[in-house]
Amino acid sequence: MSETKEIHIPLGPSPEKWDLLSKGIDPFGDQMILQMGPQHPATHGVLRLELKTDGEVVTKITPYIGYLHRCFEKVAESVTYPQVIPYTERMDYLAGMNMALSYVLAVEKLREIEVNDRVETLRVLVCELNRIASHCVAIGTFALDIGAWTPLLYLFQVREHILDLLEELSGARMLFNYIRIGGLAHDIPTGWIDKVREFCTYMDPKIPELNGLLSYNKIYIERLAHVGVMSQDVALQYGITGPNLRATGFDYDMRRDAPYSGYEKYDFQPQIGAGEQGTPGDCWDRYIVRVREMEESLKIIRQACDRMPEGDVKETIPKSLRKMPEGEVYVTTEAPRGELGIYLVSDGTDKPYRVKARSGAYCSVAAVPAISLGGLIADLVAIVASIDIVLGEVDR
Amino acid sequence: MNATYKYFRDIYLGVTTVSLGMWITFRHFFMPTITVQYPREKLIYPPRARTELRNAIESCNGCLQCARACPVEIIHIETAKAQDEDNAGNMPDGKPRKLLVLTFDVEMSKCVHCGLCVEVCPTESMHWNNEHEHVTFTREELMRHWATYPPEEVRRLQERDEILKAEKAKQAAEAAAKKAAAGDQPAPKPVSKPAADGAEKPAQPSAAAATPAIEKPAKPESGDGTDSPQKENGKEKA
Amino acid sequence: MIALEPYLDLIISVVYVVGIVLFLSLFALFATWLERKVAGHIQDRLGPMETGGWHGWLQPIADAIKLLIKEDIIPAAADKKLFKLAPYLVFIGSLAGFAVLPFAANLIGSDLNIGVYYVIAVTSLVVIGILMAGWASNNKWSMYGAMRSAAQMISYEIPVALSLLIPVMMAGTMSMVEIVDNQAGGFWNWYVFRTMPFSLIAFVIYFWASLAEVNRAPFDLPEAESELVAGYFTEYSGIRWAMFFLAEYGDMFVVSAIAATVFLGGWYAPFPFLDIIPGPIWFIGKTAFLVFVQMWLRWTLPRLRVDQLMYVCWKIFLPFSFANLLLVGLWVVLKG
Repeated sequence: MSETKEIHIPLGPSPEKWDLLSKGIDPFGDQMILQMGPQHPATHGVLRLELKTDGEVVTKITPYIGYLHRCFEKVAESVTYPQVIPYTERMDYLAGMNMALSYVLAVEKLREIEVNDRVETLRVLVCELNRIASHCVAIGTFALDIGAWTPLLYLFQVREHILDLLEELSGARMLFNYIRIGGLAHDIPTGWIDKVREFCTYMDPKIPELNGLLSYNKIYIERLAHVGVMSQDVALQYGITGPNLRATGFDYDMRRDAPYSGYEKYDFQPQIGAGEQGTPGDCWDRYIVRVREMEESLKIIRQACDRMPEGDVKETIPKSLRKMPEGEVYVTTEAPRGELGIYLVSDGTDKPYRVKARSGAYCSVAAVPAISLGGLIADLVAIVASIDIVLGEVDR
Repeated sequence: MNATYKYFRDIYLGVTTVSLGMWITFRHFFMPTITVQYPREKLIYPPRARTELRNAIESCNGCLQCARACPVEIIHIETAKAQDEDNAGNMPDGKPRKLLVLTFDVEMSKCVHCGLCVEVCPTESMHWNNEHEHVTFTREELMRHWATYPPEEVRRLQERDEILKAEKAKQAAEAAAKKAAAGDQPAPKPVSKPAADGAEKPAQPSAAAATPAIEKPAKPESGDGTDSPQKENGKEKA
Repeated sequence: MIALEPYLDLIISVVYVVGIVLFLSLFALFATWLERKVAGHIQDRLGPMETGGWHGWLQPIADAIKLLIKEDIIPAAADKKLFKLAPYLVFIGSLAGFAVLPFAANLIGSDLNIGVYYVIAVTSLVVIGILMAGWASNNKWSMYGAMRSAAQMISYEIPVALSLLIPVMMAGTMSMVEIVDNQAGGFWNWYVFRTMPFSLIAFVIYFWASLAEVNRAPFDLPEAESELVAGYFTEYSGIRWAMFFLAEYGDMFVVSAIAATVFLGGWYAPFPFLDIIPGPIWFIGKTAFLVFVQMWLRWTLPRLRVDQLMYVCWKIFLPFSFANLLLVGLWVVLKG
C-alpha cells in the first residue's frame, strides 16, 4: 500500500476539482473514487459504500445508509399499540419473531402483564427457530459473496423447513405477526411439536455437511482468516453486539446475562470466537460463531419442546389497549443481528408517544470503515458479508 | 522449517478439503430434488395460511372493527341503518340485520397480510380464501369491492340515512329543549349552567339543522339526577 | 467445368471452419444447458424444465434468440470502436484454438508440427480482447475485471506451458496427431498414467491452471459477481455479451480438449477393443467429461483472492511444474 495523500474532496461536483482537472492535474492522485452500491450484488440490499481505492487497495470507506428508510419510528407513533407489531417485523425481515418479541416485551413491561409459562416457552421456541432461519441466510449469502453458490441453496432448504413450520403455526412465512401483547395469536396446531422434533433430527447432519463443504475449506479459510479483524476495543467502542461481539472473544449474550422470556431455564452455551484459524475477531470467527450458534439454538429448541407446559396462550391478552399507563420503558433482546432495544414512551393514549429502536446491524455498519481499511476490495466484500447486516434493520 | 511445514500443510489441506467438498456436492447429484414444478404441482397450504383476504358480505354486520384494526388503513366501509322497507333479512345467526353495508372496499395492493382484521371480526365474515394467485393486470383490479349495492342505490340509501339522522337529531334537539325548559323552572342551580347553554341553542329557529354534535354535550348533564326523569318524560312525549 | 483441383484445399478449409463455428455454437448451447443442469442437481434443484419438453433441452435456443433480439446498448462514454471490436477479438482467440484440435486421426484443421506451441500462443490473444473490453467500457468495475484478467491469464500461461511440456518431452514432438498416436493401445499408455506420478501431477496442474486461463471458478476473479458486478463485460448486453459467453464456453472446450489430447489419449478408447466406436466420440466424450468437472468445481468452491491467486501460481504450481519437468527430463534421458 503506497502512502496516501489526504486531499479533501467535497461530495458532488466542486469547482476546485474541475479547475484542477481542466489544468491537467488529477486531484485524486493515484486514487480512484468508487461507488459500491446501492445497486451492487454484495451490499445485501441497498447499502452504498463510497470507496477511495489505490489499485485494489481500499484507502477510505464511507458508508451511506438510508435507502431503505421506512419511518418505522414515526409510523409507530401514529398507529395503536397492537398495530405496531406488523411494522416491527419489517425491520429485520429475516427474523420477524425476534423483532416482534422485543417490542411486545416492552409493551408488556409498560402494562405490567405477566404471561404464563406456555407463552414464554413458545416464544423462545419460535424465536430460536427464526434465529436458525436468519443465520441460514446470513451464512448462505456470506458464502455467496465469497463465490460459493451451493451452500446458500443447501441452507435455504433448512430455512424452508423452518418457514414451513412457522407458516403452519402463524399463517405467514416471513412476517408472522404471531407474538402479541400479552400472549400469542394462536396456540400450536396438533402434532406441531413432533414436526419441530423431526426438524431437529433433520437439521443435525446438516451442520457437519456445511462444515465439510464450506467452513473448513482451505480456500474459504484463506479468504476469511486474518481479514477484517475487529478487536474487542473497537467492538465495544462502536457498540457492536450479538454474534459480531462474541466473535471478538467477548463472552456476552443477552439470553444468558440478562435473561428475558424465561431464557434462564434453558441450558446453552454462548459461542465465542477464539481465532482458531487466524486472529480472534476476524471474518472466519464471525462466520463460525453463527454456525455454532445454530447448534446452540437447536439445543434450546429441543429443551423447549420437552418442557412445553400446558396453558392458555391468550389468557393474558388485554381486552383493550386504549388506556396505557404513562411512562417509559427500555427492553433489549438478543436478536440474530445483535441487541435489539426498544425504547417506548407512553403518554397514556392508545398510541405510543415515541418508539425508538436500537438495532445491532446499524452499529455493525458503522464499524465497517474501522475494520476494513487497507484491505482489498475482495476483503471488503467479505467483511460486509461477515458482519451480516440487513438493511431493513439498519435503516428501519 | 516452520515455513516449509506450513507450505506443505497448506497444500495438503487445500487438496483434501477441496476433495471433501467435491465429494459432498457429488453426493447431492444423486439426492432427490426438492423442486416443486409450480404451475403443475401445487403446495398445500396450512389452514392458518394468510393467503388472500375475502369478506363474506352477507354475514358482515358493518361494525367497522376491521377498518379500525387495520394498521395500513386500507379497508373503507360505508353503512346505512336498515329500515323495514329494505327487507334486509336476517344475519346468519338469526338476528335481524341492523346495518346495510353499502360499500366494503379493500385496497388489496396495500394489504400487508397481518391478519388483524380477520381476528377482530365478530361474525367471522372476514376470512382467508386459501388461494394465493391474486395476480392482476391492472392496479384497479386489486381494489376489491365486495358490497353489492350499485352506486345510485348507495347514494339513495346514504341520503335517506342523512334525512333520518337529521330527523332524529331534530327530535333529540326538541326533546333537549323541552327538557331544558322543564329543568330550568324548578331549581336554577349554578351547576346547571352548561345545561342552560345547551338549551339556548336548540331554542333557535333553525333547530331542525341541529347536528348530533350539539346534542352530545347535553348528554353528560343528564347524570344530574334531577334531570333524568324529565328527560325520560320528554322522550315519551316526543 | 472449372477445375476445382487448385481450390480444393481452400474449399475444405472453409467447410471445416464453418463446421467448427457451428460445432462451437452447438457446444456452447449444450454447455449452457449442462451448466444449469449440473448447478441445479448439485443444489438439489432441477434446473430448466419447461422449454422444449424433456428437461428443458430447448432452453439454450430460447436464450440465444432472446439475446439476439435484445437491445444493443453502448454506453455514451464508451470508446465505441474498441467496445464493438472487443467481443469478436475474444471470440477469435477462442476459435483459433480449434484449428489444431485433433477430433480424429484425419479430422484436424491443421496438423501443425508446433501444435501445442500454437495453442498456447493463440489462446493468449484472448487477453487483448478482454483488456480492450474493460478499457473501452469506461466503467471502473470493467477496468478492474480486465486488469485482474490480464494479470491472471499471463501468470497462468507459465504453469500451463510447463505442464504441457511434459507430454511433449515424452512424445518428442509438438504435433497433436503424433502425441495422440503415441498414446494408442489402452489407457495405460495415456501420458497421464505413464511416468507416474509426475505426469499425473502435471495433468492436475494443467487442469487447475487452465481453469484460471478460462476465468472459471475458483479462479473467476475477472468476472467475480459479488465483487465486480460482472467484471469486464459489465456494460455489454445482447449479442455482444453473447459473444463473450460463447468465447468462454469455447475456451472451456479448447482447454479441456487439449488436456484430453495430450494427457488422456485423444481419440483412442481406454481399451483397444472399444476402438470400434469412432474416435471423435471418444474425443468429445473425454472433453465433455473434463468440462463437466470444471462445472462441478465451479458449483463447489469459493473464489480465491487476487494475492492468493498469484501465490498459488508462482509459489505452488510453478515450483512443482519445474520439479516435474526436471524429473521427467531425467526419466526420458535415462530411458534413452
